[in-house]
Amino acid sequence: MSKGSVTLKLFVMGINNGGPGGPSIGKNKNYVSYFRMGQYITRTIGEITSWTEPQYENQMRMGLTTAFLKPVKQFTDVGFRYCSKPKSTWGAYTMALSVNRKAITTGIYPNLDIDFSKAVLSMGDLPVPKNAEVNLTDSIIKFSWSAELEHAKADESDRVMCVAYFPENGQALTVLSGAKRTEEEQTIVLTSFTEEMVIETYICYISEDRKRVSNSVYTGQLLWSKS
Amino acid sequence: MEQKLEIMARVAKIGPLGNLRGKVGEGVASKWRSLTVIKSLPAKRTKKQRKKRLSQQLSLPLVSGFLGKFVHEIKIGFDNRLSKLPAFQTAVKYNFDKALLGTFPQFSIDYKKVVFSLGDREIAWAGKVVEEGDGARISWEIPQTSKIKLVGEDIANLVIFNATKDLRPGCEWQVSTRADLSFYTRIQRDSWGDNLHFWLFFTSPDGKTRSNSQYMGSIGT
Repeated sequence: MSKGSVTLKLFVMGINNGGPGGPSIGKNKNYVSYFRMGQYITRTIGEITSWTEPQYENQMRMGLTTAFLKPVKQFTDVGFRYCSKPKSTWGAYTMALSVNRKAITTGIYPNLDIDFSKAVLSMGDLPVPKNAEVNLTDSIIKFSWSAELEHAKADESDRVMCVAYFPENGQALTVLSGAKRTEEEQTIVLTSFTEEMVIETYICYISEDRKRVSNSVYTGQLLWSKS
Repeated sequence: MEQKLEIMARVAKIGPLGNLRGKVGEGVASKWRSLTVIKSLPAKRTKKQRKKRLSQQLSLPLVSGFLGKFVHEIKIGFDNRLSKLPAFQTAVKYNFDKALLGTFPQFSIDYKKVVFSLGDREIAWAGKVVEEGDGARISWEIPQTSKIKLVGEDIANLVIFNATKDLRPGCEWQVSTRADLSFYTRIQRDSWGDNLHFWLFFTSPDGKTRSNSQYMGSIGT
């Protein structure tokens, strides 16, 4: 994210809803119009080689957020699929990026960092897992929670989804269809590490038809070491 | 516009001794766009060199020279059609930022941080290298959470570097699949006992996606 000689395409977009001559498609001077995800788009073509300070800050925030979300994309694709989005053109990943970008990046530019406890990996109306806890014993992560079946929206067939994220190597282990709500226990077996590993963990519920999810809960940070 | 005076001659016919190359008196012969040309020698530099520039002149050839030995792997590993730069330049740029150690005038390459491939596919978890006979056994793990039927057919791409002799030993580098969990590779006789470094990355069977490359370890001293 340095102020190097990186060149990016300039994406200044406008929504083109037709007008008297109907929607245009094609290139006109330095404008190009086309159809994308249900709407006509007109944008400029060109290159930009320098940015302002707030733009650099935004790029850095975006870089940190995408680095975090990329390994858990399978998870967020399920977690944000059916939540309400501000625009019909937004997909699950756009929504996840939008929610997390402001929430997880902390600090003042250029010393930005990620606050893992504020990350949101799923959004929905199911009640969040109550008393969610996580333990690490002999390379096995054990998630536990209380079933809480009294809640009106809770169902016996609900399952949990879990994430173990490793900031060191930027990878994650995800369980998208875990144990049932009533089992109150889900494990993730880690691979054999050689160095100390920090593990960030998250958990959420998902209904049997996979249309309703709960908000994700940050269950805390674990530290794997040799001994 | 000010223009530099440079006398250049084109060699019309290649003589019986083959192509001209190198200094001939006051001129220097070289190949330029399929032509053999003779240019006048450049003038001697009079300006004092800045440290920043000298540092760049030392460090960039170090990285690009190292990566130049692995052009085939990088063509696969950094293949990205959306990227503006070609694969090799992307690799040099990435590794120059991440894998260069030290300050001017002593630069070195951090082998643990060198990356030959970038992608979304699952990495080689818990990679290990063990010396075995005339070669080495490379092994990795598949986590319980992965879908082995989806990723089991992935092709393992091995990268070896001989740090003692600064060369890339020849080896079979696409021999195994992810489901094998380990494979044995024979090492060329001239690299026996040398300090060898190993990296591994996976590509999907259709060749469209790839994993990040992982440093597996080293053998020998």
